[in-house]
Amino acid sequence: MKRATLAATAIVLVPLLAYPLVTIAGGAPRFPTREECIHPPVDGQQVDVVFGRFDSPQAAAGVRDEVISVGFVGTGVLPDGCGRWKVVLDGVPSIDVGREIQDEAQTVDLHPTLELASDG
Amino acid sequence: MQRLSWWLEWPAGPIRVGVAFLVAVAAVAVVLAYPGVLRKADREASGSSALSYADREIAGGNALVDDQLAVYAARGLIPEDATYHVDVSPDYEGDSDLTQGHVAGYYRYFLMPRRPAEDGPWIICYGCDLTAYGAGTEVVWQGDENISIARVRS
Amino acid sequence: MTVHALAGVAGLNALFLSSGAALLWAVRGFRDWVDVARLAGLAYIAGVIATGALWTLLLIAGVPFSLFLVLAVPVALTLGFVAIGRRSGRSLPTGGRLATGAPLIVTAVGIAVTGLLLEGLFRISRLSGLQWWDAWAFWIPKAKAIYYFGNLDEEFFTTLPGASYPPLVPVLDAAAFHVMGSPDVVTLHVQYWLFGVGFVWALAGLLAERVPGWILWPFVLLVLVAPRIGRRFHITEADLFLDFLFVLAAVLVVVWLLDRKRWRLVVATLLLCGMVLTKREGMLLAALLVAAALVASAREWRSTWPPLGIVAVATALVAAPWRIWYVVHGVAGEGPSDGGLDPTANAERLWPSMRLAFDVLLSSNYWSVLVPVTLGALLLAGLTRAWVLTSFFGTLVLLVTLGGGWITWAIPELPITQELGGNPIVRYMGSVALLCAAASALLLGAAWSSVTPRAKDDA
Repeated sequence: MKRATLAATAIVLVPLLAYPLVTIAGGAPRFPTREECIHPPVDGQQVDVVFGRFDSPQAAAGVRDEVISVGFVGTGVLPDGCGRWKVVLDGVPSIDVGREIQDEAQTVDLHPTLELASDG
Repeated sequence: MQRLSWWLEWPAGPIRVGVAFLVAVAAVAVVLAYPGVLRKADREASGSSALSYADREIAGGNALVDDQLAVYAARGLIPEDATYHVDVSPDYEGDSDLTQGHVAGYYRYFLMPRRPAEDGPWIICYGCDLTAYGAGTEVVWQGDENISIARVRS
Repeated sequence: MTVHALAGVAGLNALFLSSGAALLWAVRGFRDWVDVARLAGLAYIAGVIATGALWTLLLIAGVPFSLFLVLAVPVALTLGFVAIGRRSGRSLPTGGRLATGAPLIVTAVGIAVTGLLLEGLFRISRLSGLQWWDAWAFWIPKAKAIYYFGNLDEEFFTTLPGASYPPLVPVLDAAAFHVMGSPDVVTLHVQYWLFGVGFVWALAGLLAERVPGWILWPFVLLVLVAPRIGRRFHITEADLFLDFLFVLAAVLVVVWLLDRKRWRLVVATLLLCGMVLTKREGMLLAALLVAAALVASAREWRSTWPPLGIVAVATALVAAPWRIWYVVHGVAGEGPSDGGLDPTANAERLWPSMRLAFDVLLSSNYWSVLVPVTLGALLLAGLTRAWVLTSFFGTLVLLVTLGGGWITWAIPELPITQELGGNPIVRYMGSVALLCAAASALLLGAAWSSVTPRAKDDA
């Protein structure tokens, strides 16, 4: 390849590759999904015990009623910030307590997950 | 580089100067604007990236709907093959003057394939009088901004 | 916004490119791979329009719009054009030599600086929400209706605002939704950015034939930095898309007037067909473009007017089915309610309307220095007796501007204002501004080559 062609190739490629690389260096590209409203629990902070997420507040309310009927009093329905409603027992003081609630729920065939408390 | 006489010879010289001048004007305009456009692109991209999922999804509707939850509740509650009606009371005072005239159009976009219909069984009510729909009307979702979603049972 | 959606858009656009490249190969052929690279943008835009127009006409004819149709049409077009090319004896491109020396370096710098800006604009488009009133009020609802119901759903297409607007752009959106797997309006912005990239590439590729790089690239870049043009590449509305087609068609027609290569007129006709299927202003712009070509070629009317007549008839034939559809379905027409041709009606609005159009045309807040530079370029090209270019672009800029004034004058409901929500004049005049970029480059290129014999070697 001639020198001028090499120079021209470099003139085109260097900035066109450098710009995205510099941008990516600030963090990988995001692909936003509804999962971005699910935050993992953090040691030392309150957690939410979440019994499910639903597109419809009515469907969420139905599950909430079932959850309460098997003993998890205080469970409510809250919007999750990504267009869904979550059935949640909130204000759980720690991950350990949350795990105990999970174990208890499994005895009645419920499989809640732990998340960082919404206001935590 | 060309000699000065090449630029001054008659009649071609002035044409050459004119062409070079106009290209220079365009080039200077580009040079002056270019960094600003790149910076603005960077700012806008960062702004878009920082939006929450709901803010990005509702986008143009954020200035109209008053409560994002109402839009999501309508989508979650109204079946895809059902029809609905957006009823905005003339007295409804939303966060924006635009709500009154445009919120129904926004719901039409957001809720597709659901179809709007004056006599639809689902009512998205912005401060409206639900008693006007009869005794069989059931409020299935109530928001904080005097917005509710109701179903009329025939 | 998912990787799957982006991959779907990439696949669809590869199909646009393949069908357009096959079309160009069939009607023109490619000399070598450099030729292919130079015209790849035009091939892409031609593929978008060939595919999109066929989808649109099939949809109007009642063929269900499905993922199968989305994929089958561009594949069939590619195979069809390849068959035509083979039958015409076209050979495959081989090899290719780049320019050398300073022109090569100027081109490389131009591509790099333009590409960098396009990358910046891509970042805006990737995660943008649907903010614009027209987009969520009717363009995207129409696209969603096609996507969900597979037809021109009578309820939505007769009651949405802009009901008489032709459906090409919603059809392209719906096709993108199909390949994305959902009506992902965030990723859709990337599709519009790709239209913008295709246009810039096509424009630069077409102009590079006749304009030296040092004249060409400042104007290509000016398109991208002009406040009301490049920064709006990602917006999911039809205005800029229409302007892209208009400007490329204008360049093809005027260069055809100069060199009479038939393929230019074939591709220009395709783009004019795309214009009349995109927006109602597309009819007006297409008619004015043909009128300007008739004026610019009046001296040789025997050889130019018949082909231009065929172009006009073909465009009108493609425009007809949509007009029949909306008339049959009781949608009010596209023009002013009283026809807009009575000079005595709204006489008091005539001068303010025309002044508004010229004020918008000359506003550097919208178009940077594009318009004044074009006026200077018209003068220089006129002095060098580049009559065809001067008369074509001079006539077209004037006619389109007068057309903008006519729209405001003939529709009394429109306030005489540059306010975007009240009057479409600023959007409409984007077509003239974008035209000015192409015109300036061609006019200055012609003026330069007429006084600089070696300029052609530099081009």
